[in-house]
Order: sequence, then structure tokens, then C-alpha cells
Amino acid sequence: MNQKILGILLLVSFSFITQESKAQDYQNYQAIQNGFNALDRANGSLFTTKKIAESAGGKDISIYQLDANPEREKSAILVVGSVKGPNLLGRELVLQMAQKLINGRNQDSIKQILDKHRFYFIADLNPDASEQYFASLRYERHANARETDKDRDGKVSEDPYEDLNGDGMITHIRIFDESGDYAEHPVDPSVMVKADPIQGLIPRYRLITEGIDNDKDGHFNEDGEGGIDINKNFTFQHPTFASEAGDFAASEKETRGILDHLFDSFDIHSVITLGGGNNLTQAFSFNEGLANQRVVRSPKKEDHAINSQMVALFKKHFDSKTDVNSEYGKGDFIQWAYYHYGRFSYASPGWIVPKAKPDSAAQEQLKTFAKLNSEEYNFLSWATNAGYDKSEFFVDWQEIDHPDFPNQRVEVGGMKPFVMENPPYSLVDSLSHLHLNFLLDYAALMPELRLRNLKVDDLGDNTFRLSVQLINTGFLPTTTIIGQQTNWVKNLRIALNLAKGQEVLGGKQFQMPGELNGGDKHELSWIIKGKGTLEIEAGSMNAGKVKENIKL
Amino acid sequence: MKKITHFRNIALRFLKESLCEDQNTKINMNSINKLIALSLFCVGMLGSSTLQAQEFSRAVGTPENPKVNIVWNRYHDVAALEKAAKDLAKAHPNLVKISSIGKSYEGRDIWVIEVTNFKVGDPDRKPGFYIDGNIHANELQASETALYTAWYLAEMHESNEHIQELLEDRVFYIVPTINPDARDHFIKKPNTMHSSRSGMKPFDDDGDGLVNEDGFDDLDGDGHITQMRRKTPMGRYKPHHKHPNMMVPCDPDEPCEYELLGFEGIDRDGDGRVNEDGEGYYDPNRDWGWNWQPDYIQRGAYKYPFSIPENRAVADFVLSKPNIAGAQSYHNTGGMVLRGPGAEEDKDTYNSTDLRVYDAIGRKGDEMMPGYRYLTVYKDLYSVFGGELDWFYGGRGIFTFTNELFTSYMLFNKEYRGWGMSTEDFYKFDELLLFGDAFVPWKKYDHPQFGEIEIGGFKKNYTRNNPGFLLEQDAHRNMAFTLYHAYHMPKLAVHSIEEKDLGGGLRQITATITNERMIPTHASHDIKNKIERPNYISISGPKVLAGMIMENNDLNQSKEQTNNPEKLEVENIPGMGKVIVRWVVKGRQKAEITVDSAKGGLVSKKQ
Repeated sequence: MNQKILGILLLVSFSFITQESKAQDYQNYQAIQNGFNALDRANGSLFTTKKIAESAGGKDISIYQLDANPEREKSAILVVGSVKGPNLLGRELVLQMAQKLINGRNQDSIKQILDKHRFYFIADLNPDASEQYFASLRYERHANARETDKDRDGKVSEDPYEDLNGDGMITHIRIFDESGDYAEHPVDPSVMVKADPIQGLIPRYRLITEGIDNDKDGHFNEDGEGGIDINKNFTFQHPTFASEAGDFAASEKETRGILDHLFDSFDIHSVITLGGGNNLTQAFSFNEGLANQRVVRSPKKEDHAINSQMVALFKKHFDSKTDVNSEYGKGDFIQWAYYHYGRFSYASPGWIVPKAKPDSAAQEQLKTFAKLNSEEYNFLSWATNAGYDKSEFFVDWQEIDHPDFPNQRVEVGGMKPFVMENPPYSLVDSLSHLHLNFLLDYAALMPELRLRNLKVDDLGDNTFRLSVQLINTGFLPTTTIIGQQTNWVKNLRIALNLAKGQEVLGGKQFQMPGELNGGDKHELSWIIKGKGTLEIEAGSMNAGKVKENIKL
Repeated sequence: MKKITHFRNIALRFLKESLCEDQNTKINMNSINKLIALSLFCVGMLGSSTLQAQEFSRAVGTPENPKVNIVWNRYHDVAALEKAAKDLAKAHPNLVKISSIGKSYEGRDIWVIEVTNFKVGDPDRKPGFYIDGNIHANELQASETALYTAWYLAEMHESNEHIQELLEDRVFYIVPTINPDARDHFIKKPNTMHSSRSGMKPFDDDGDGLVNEDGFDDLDGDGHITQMRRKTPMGRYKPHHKHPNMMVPCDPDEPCEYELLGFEGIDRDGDGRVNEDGEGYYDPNRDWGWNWQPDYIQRGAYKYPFSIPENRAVADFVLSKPNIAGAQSYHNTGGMVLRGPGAEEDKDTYNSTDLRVYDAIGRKGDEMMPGYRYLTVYKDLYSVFGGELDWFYGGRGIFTFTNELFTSYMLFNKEYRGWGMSTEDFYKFDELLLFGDAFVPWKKYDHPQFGEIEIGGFKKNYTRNNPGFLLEQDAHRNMAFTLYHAYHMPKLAVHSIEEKDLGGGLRQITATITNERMIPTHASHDIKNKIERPNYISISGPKVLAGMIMENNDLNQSKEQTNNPEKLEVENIPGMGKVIVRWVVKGRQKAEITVDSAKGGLVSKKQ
């Protein structure tokens, strides 16, 4: 490219990024890429891009590195955006956090962190799926673009959704049928809730996704476009043969590209995910028995304790009155990052629908339905209280003729796709602030190795006893308990690099004495023969390194 | 025209006289060109085969005059395996084709030898049998056993009816080595008999951030990594009183003069350990996509299922061949016919219906291979995740065995009760039958860290790999077991089509579909997980009004398929069993019934 034109482009893009994103609605894959590319172009070696995978649909998945002094060895935090197909929020948060970190890099609080740690960002693990928001038919999609036989009947993609009311999106159909298992919500009859005759919620409807049973197998829309949900394709408890999970773990090239890259990234200490899964409003559940089985299925006790402390830290920033349960599933990314990658893995849901307070009349009506807990009703109450129009989120039920239910009353309607997973776009900026502050607080807790109380005893005849303490002055351990067991986290290693003519008479020149919890130390000592300057080098690839020269 | 006639006469004469006349080949008399090509081929073969035929007389069960001569008492490097495969393909163009299923980490081709009668049927629609060997690099004879199978099928085809039948309705996919990089490394570089099982992807075994920095050192330069011993006061070992090459522990109260220092090597990285980070580490047989577990649960696992490129090539190949209905992998050592599950946690995967088939075949192996035992991995060996046999069965529904070739039973035809019980006899066998060829005699060596030591011990090609003269027999017996397994892959037939007039222009057509062998079209684990699509049993000809699968034909119990009744979806055609289907049709056309089964093949019959 002509240098002059390039220069102008750089200027234009730089001015764009310093103002951060000014989008009005969720951005498509390309716009998000453009946002990161602009950061890359404007920031030299501070911000760099590496493609690590390509989706089945041909979209690049890249990892972005933010590193204030790339030549120095240091530990890293990986921040991952949308891992769940319908989640558009995560990648917006990741982009905005990267922008905010770069723009604020001269502020003391950020500068100190950037000096010690490297950040990686991945925007979206499953771009084929999230792009469905922008397609001519909008529906919540989890599958990448590799066509598969989801219901394993020998036919591929033979039963997709159909837009029966022509509104460009897939909602639900309800069939008036007393053998169904749905009822109307007692306050808002447009909201469907699970029938519960004991509570007085009498079954009146069948509720299924919008479409036709094309292959007449009794299941609706069970084998539509695309194939595998990347967030079900990781190796921890892979749900082999389940719909959209794949015939074996890491069957998809997206998954493999991500895994290959991350396994070789030994500097990553912690993984923070913002678009799919949650163990920051409530920790991963702990069960000592499962934690100590051969096939580990619960966090180790010590790791769980730290998870609980991170929940408290998260809640400091993300004050939510809503009691939100943790969220994780078989074959997902966030559990893989802990159980199989051996890293600290934390996930924020990104946004939590605030608990709406129904008006007094509604409260009165709901009194007799103690067990009724409808997320949809809560969402719509919150939205209308906050001044949004219900029609932004909800399609009113509308009667249609349905070929599979020729003599029954059938209506199309219900919650619009994507709206409960992704808040109104105007909230994204403040959410990215919250998450950035959490990230900076987290980074300040990272392990930090220091050599303290160095002492040299001259034993005479050119012989010295050298003793020192290696201390983790951070809060977090150098690695998880799982990390101590897997080969994919490098051990903490201490080496004595001797000057010419020096010799170790006592102690170990190279040793791997074990990992350090926050505040813990190793006592080290050697007997060295010979004068000269030696170097103590201590640390690990994912907890940072410390070096010190000592003249004997 | 005259010239062509002449050629044709020559061709016909040669074909009549030639020993290479293929009795199964129907020669099209009008196809002059084919004839000429065939006759010219036969001219070439005639000279050598008649000569050989005068020199050799057949030993039963073995081709006396093979087109490809392979010596079965030595091991092939990767180039030699490749050459043998290519020679077979060249010598038997109608029976053997080879192709590469992918590349190894270091870029070697992984060759599959496809053996079937290519002149009969579509090979992709015949039930397929997959065979591989050498997933563990040091287990050389696994490749020879696989190669022997390809060679035997091709060379015996002409003279043996059983082989002819097998190759007519089955196809074999034989991959002699699925770990070529490390096979050559084992053969060409200094190694122990155990190093390495792995492939050649570099790995930091000891987690110190350095890769392959402290491997074995062939201190005496003989190409074998043997043992180090050192004379020392109050050592705990001594030479065996009858077999002085052998080191044995001393009695607790007995003063002794030797200590053992492990395999030949030096502590190269100063960490106080010797040989702790050399080539290899990961185990390619912990890399398969059924109940895969990571390295801290299953030592040897790599990053994720099929993260070893050689295994990925195999998996992609198997996924591309849904006709594969049986499989066998060859390993060493110990004389075992192994079935899954590998892991105790998987014991419910192998249900009783499928185990009946496994047991019937596995127990036959006990009889065919003296000294071998039919065992279950997790129960009788160790509990292990991510093994190849578990993916073939768990992930693909393919009945699969792993055979551990060579057993100490073969030394003196004697059973040993436990592991290591035969150690003394390995020394005795070396002395009496191998004349010391398996042992590097103890010799002094000045070690930079241990001082004066002695180096010696069994060579890398002893204790696990068959001694030369025991290789062919072991290969043959294992092949015979595998051919028995392959024979019992499904063989489907439309046994009968019966018709009944229902009046008013309607007829009832009832077809009985049989499977004449033990293996079902769908393992019961397959049915449970819908691994493979159902069998399709279709009718063409008359117009179909209704179609049904008979649950009990005698008592007229049926299950109707309302959608698309012309093509009935049948979840399984059981081994040594049948399925009866029925249609109600209109019109007088004769019906044709077609059975289309991924693993069972494609057969049809007209009324």
C-alpha cells in the first residue's frame, strides 16, 4: 500500500479508537474485528494480533496481546468474550476493556498493572453462531457452520426453524392443547410458564419453537442449520453424542485452534470469561468426594476457597440484589480452563437482569404462587419499569395456520431472541467499566515473586553460604492445585547460574521445590565455592520470574 | 486387422498356458485391448513363476510361490514397509491398492493397504475391517503382523476358497504402522526395549521449561541403551549363579558387590536426575476420543482427543469409512487378546448384548493362539482412558480387539504365573536358542558422574519383540484370529419375499432379511447412542400404501412407519438373526427389496 495513504488511514483509525466505540447497537463480527484491528494498527508492539483458528464458516478467531514491555517475561491474564453462541455482550465488553486499558495506560493504576502483566483477549469463540443476530432470519444459534446430523437420524439439517409469521425472527408457537404442559402467567397471560396444577397453573398449551416438523419425526426444529456448539465441544465432561456437542471432544477446528494455542501459552495464569457461564456471583459447586476422585469433577478445596473469595471481589463491583446461580455445563470453556488447562478460571455473566419489583396489585396476585419464578416475567417487568416498551422485547401472540396442527388454534409470539442474554446496548458502556475495574483489582492480586532476606556467610577459603527466601507477595497462588498436577503448567524452578570457576558444594543448583500460595515462601541455601557474580533465577512461566545477581 | 488377430491369438495362448491365469476372471473376448494388456502382464510373470514352481513345494497354509517375497524373520523400517506395500499393490492390482491417509508429525506418509477383490462389488459398500499396528513405536512386530495379513490375503487368494470368499464380500484396510516417525527412531537410534512408546513431538517431560534436554546416552556407542551397574561396598545385587548376565537382588543378610544405576545415561541438565526428559513422553494410545481424560488423570494423554497428528489421520480415515464393522490393533507384549473397556468408569458402556459377541470371538482367540489369554483391559491389565479400542467401540460402535503380540509362553511353551516370572528364562532362551545374540556383555566404562561402571544388558530388540524365528508363527496365528473376526462381520441377504393377495388390487409383501454372521449391523451401544444411521430396507416397484416392521410375524404384531413407508428405518439386523418387514402395496409390478446398511453393505433382491 502507498505509504501516504497508509499514514492517513492510521491517523483516521487512531482518532477513532481514542474515542472508543460509539456504536448504537451490537456490532457484527466484522465491526468487532475492525475495532481490534484499529487498536493493533495504532499501538505498535503494545497491541498485537495473532490468528489462532478459523471457524467452520471461514471467520478468523484471533488472540490479541496487550503488553507494555513484550521483551520481559511475565504472567498473563486471558480475557475471553462470547463463548456462548447467542451472547453478543461478551465480545463488546472485551473490545471496550481493551480500548479502555490502552487509553488509560498512563494512569498510575493501569500503568503498574501493565508493567507486571500481559493481557490476552479473545473476542468470540463461536463467530458463526453469534452472526445469526445479523442474518436475515434472527434466532439464538449455538451451532457453528459445519453441517451435521444433529438428531443422528441419517439426514443432515433436515428440520430447521421456519419464520411462520414473517417477522424475521424465531420466537415460539403455542398450541391450545390441554395435554400440553404450559400455562399462562397469572399476572401477564402473554408469558408462558410451566404448568403446575397444584398451584393452580392449569395446563392449556404446548409450547415449541417456531417452525414445522419437516421430517415428521415428532420433534420440531431439532436439526437445523449448522453443527456444533463450541461451548459444548471442550474436553471436560464432553457430552459425546448430545445434540450440537460433536462425536468427540475438540471435533471442531475452532476448538482445536483455541486449544493448540492456549496449551502452548504457558504464561497464562488466569482466564476470565465474560460471555457464557458464571462462577462469579456464586462459585463452582464444591464436593470433596468428587474433588478427590480419579476423574476430578469438583474444584479442589483450596481452589474452591479462592473462587469464593473472587465472588466477594466481583460483588464489590457488580452489586446485584438478584440471586443468580452459577452457570456452567458439560464440555464448556470455563470448566475446561480450570479442570483441564489447570488455570484459575472465572466467568461473569456480563449482565444480570435486575430483580423487578412488581406493583402492589401484581404482588397480591402472585401471593398464591409462591413457587412461581418466571425469568421472562421478571425481565418484562424490569424493562417496562425502566421505561422500555414491551414490544422491543416481546412479540405479541398472533394466530396462524399450522400444517402440523390442522384443527387446533396455534399462535406465534413470545420473547424475542437474544434480548434476555444481551442487555439494551446503552448499558454496555457502564458494564465494561465495571468489568474493567474488576479485572484491574484481580490483576493486583496476581502472584508476585520476590527474593528477600538475602544473606551471604563467608566460610573462609573462598567458600560461602548463600541463603535467601523466595516469597509470593501476591494474594493468588502461583498456580491452581490442578495446575500443580498437569504438565501444561510449568513448575516453579530455581536455578543458580554460576560464574566461571564457581561450584556448588552444598544444596541443589537446579530445583523445583513446589508452588507457592500467596504470602508463602521457600527457604533456600547453598554452599558455593569460588568468587564471582552469580545469578539466582526463580519463578515459573505463569507466575512471573525474578532474578538477582549476587557478588561473592 | 491381421496384426490384432495375431496378438489376440498370442494372448489367448498365453492365457491358457500361463500360471497366472485368474480363474475368477471372466475375460471379455471383445475387449482386445484389455486382453493384450493382461497377456503382456502375464508374459512378465510367467518366466519367474514357472522357475520358482519347479523349486518349491507347498507347505499347507502358506503360498509356496508368492509374487512378492517377504522374509518373515526380521523387522522392516518405514521405507521397507512402504516398499512391501507398493510391491503388493503392483503385483496384485486387482486385490491390493495403497494410499496415504495422512502425514506423521515429521511428514512421513501413513499408508493404508486396501485389500479386497476389486473386480467384485463396490469396495466402499462391503463391510470393512480395519487393522493397524505399531501405535507404540517400540512394538515393531505389530507392523509385521499387519503386513503379513495383507501379504497373505493377496498371495493366497488364487488358491484358497475361504480367502476368495472373504475378499469378495469384505474389504480390509490395513495400516502397518500408525507411528512411522518413532518406529524409525526406535530402529535407527539408540533405545531401550521400552523407549519409546511415544511419537516424536517434542515434549517437556519434567516440566522445567526445557524440552528433551536429558535423554538417554548411548555411552558405549552400540546402538542399544542397556543397563549401568557399579561395583560398590554393600551393594544389593549380584550376578545370577546360573546366568551370570542376569543381575538378581541379594538376600537381606548377604553382603553383595553391585548396585544398579538404571539405563545408560548422564544427568545432562544438572537437576539430579538421569534420562528424565528425552524423546517422547506422551502415549498415542491415550489420545482417542472416547472418555478422554487429561494428563493428570491419565498419564500419557496429550492436549485433547486426536491431538497426535497420526491418530487424527486414522480417525479421519475411519470417519470417512462408515462401512468399517470390525477392527484390530496390534501391540506387544504378553500374549493377550484384549477388549474394552479400558477404564473401569466405562464398564456400563459394554453391555451384555455386545459382550456376547466379544466373548464368542475373543474365546476363539484363546484356542487359536496358545499362550494367549482373552482379557478385559480395565479388569485384567490396568484402568486406562483414551485408548484406541475404546474409541472404535465407544465412539463408532465397531467391535474391536487389541492383541498383545509375543508372550514368554513362546520361549519354552510354558505358562508363567505372574509378571516378571519368566525373567530367568529370557536369559536361558538367549543362551540356548539365540546363542547370546540378545545380550550386550557387561563392559567397563568411565562415567563422568558415576566414575567406573559397567554397561550391559538385553538389547532393545529383545524381550518385547519376537525373536526372528518366532515371528512368522505369531503373525500367522494372530492374523487367523483377525480373519475369523472379519468373517463374522455382518453378511446380509434378502432371504425371501412373500406375497399375499389382499383383494381389491392390494397385495401384502413380506420380506425376511437375514444376517448370516455373529456381528450385528449395529452394536447395542450404537443403537443406544444412535451412532450410525439406521439400516434402510426399501421397496421399489409397486405403489406403497403402508410399511411396517414385524415385531412378531407369526402373531401379526407390527410397528408401522407412517412417514416415508417405502424406506423403512430399521435400527439393527442382529447377528445370526433376521428382520421381517412388510408393505401393503397397490399395482401389479414386481417388487425389488433393497437393504442398505452402513456396516452391513448393500444387497437387493427382485421378487
